[in-house]
Amino acid sequence: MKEIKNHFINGPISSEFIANAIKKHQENTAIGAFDIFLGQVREDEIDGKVVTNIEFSAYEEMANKELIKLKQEILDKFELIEVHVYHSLGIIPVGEVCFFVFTSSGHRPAAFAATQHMVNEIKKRIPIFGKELLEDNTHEWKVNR
Amino acid sequence: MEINIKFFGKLAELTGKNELTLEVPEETGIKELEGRFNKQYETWDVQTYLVAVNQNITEQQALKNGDEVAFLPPFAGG
Repeated sequence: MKEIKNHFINGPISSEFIANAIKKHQENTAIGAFDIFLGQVREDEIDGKVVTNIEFSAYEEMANKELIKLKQEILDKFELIEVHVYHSLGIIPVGEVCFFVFTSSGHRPAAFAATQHMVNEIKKRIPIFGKELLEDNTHEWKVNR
Repeated sequence: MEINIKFFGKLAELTGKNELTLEVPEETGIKELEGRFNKQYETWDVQTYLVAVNQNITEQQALKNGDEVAFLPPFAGG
């Protein structure tokens, strides 16, 4: 697996980017299963005010290092062929994709389990910060539950 | 000794800075830095954060010349 050192994308993650990621893996015919998680910016309501965008920032050097570590942990734990992670930075409007986890394996159980584990660990361990921008130009800092 | 400090998210907003370099006396630890920010920035003491030294989250206190100390508010990736 080619080591990707930067997991961040400026702006939303497009459906073309996701489609291309799938297409690139079709050459690897050992793969029998793909699993994908997509995180989308939700139109939440905070104290009666609607969220219009989330502005993401990160401690990029640490996050990239931790993600490389985490991917290796996941490859050791599950029978995967590949695992990829991308996260947006900058202002992402509601309805846009900001988070993309992509696993592949010979058979489906490994990909299903690995994706879920990966998403949960990223939310817990990776230093990414989100400022929820509200319709009245105020903001709230997002906290993962 | 020289310590490089980084603030993220809500803490960058509170301090008005993404980073700063401080010249501090030898033996300065995390606690002394926190004490300093607590005096300098209102509401620092009610903030929730983790501390990373040289990009590893740690509860260690001791610092050495050239360390990078990051104050990380709650994570919100995903």
